[in-house]
Amino acid sequence: MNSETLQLFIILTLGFPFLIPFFKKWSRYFPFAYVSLSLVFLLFFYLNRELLPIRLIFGGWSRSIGIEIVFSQESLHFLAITNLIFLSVFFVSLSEKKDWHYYFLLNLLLADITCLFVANDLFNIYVTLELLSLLSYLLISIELKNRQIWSSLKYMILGAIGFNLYLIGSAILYGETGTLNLSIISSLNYDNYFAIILIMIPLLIKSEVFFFSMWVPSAQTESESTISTILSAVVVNAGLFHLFRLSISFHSQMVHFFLLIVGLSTVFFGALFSLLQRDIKMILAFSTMSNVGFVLIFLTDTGMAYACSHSLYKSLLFLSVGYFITISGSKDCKRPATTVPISLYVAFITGFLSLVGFPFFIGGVFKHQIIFSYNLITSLLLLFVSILSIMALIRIFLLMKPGYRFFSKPFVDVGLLLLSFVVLFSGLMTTINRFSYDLLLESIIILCISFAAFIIFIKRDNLFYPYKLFKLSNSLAIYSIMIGIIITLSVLL
Amino acid sequence: MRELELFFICAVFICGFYGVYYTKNMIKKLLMLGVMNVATIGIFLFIGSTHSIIPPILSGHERIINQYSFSDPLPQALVLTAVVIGFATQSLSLVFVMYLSKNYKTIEEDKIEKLVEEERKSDLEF
Repeated sequence: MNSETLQLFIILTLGFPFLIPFFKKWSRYFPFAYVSLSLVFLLFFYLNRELLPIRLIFGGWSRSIGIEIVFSQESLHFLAITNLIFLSVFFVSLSEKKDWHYYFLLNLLLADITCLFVANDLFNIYVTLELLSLLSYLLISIELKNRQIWSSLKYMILGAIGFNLYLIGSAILYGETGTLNLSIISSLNYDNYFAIILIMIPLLIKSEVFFFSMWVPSAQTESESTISTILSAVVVNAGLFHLFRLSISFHSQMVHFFLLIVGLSTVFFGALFSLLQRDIKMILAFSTMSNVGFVLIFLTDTGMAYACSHSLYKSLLFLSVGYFITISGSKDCKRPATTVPISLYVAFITGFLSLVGFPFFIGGVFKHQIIFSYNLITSLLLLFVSILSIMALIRIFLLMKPGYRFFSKPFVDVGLLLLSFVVLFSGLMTTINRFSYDLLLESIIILCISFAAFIIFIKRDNLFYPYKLFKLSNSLAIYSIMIGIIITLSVLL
Repeated sequence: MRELELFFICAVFICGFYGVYYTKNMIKKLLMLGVMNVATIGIFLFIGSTHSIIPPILSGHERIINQYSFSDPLPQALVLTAVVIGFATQSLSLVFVMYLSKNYKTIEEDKIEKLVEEERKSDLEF
């Protein structure tokens, strides 16, 4: 019964978006039907959660060479969060006049993400990830502005190299083990870390990790706010989810060490660059980078919970900032404050306090666990970095002034308040068992230090964007250096 | 002999990567990306032909006595998908380059990057 429901879910998911080109007039409302259908299925799986994970092999092949999909507890969580984010994105999109292409691509992306979260063999992951990348390239450049096209092209070249490396890694793995199924590989104790790291590279590119995803600042800034929400909340999660799966399937110390080093540098550089930006969206883009580093450092169940909560509050921040840009008409943060409607202010404050790690807002509990998971030096570094990233957000916070009107555009308000409600409700549910006064005190101290440091150190003029570092040729150079280091280490050790 | 094959495949891959890094012309860059893709396909064929190079096609009356007497069909099936996806990516990127060349009147990476940065800066000023 359950495997048949899963089959139906996958088939409906993949088939539904292709109805949109036939009903162009109603393309605005189709996504809502799609998300509600998907939420109904997810509710069904939630009610039968004792039967999870559900496994399904298509076509009657053996497990080692067939296509297997696995619907696990983690897939359920990630899919529910993805659908909620998409729901609010669709609400916000209603306020602007969009073409049917936009809805078609966005809906197909949601369908593809659904398949990605249940994929269990390396080739299925490759196909869904490639489709995800193609859709993101198209969505970034949907308005056909020159800068959008250029950033999309940059992303595409970096991504294409990454996928070639992925294929090489999986070819080596297939040659040595004779299978691409993750469950079988995890029982084999496979430890050729060269192949594993090659497989991980496109996932690192997707999940906005420093050194590998130098496409982030331009693509996130130039794309529309709804698209950058999807990129930094959903696509990042897709990468992190499979990084987690791979790191528990392969028992290699070297891989964990590699992820720790990359994670620590991502945390640091992300926070540092976010502090120095003048463009509001770029601040958020680098802040996403820094938070992804937190997940990479501690790639366990806690890390995954933090990834989920990060995607929720970051999508809230991106949507509210996008709306703020349409109200104020500029992305520049060197200017006086603008009056904003209260609904927007509430949404932004909810996202901001979640980023700070306040108890009863989502994410604080998991961030606390990650910070104090290693030794004292790492904890101090992570605390310092989280202060830096809060200081960057204070810059945006000071640009907003609450006005007297509560609502402005009905659809945007509904989208923002829906997501704020989800953030507050899930924050309450996660904190209620783990609340302690230490947690509250810690977050208040961090917030006070950040405000004090902001007032003391930040002058309005010391902002710069190191665009030369993020040029295509330099990104490729950094890429090749990283690959060179990996190859040298694998030859030496 | 097999080592020589592997060496050639790796050489083609490194040439492709070097080409993507070194050339400033976007069309040439995309061509070199294609070269890299060919090397990747080569690795899959190399892995598939570990035991034999006889194609895995049966006439219907034979029975498979030893699966290693044929080349492995699975990497070939996988590579077919990879070829199609590579084609899609490359055609999309060519469309993007076409758009850029129409608007900026150049396909040199450095010039485009400079124009884009100037545009971004002038757009950001409040």
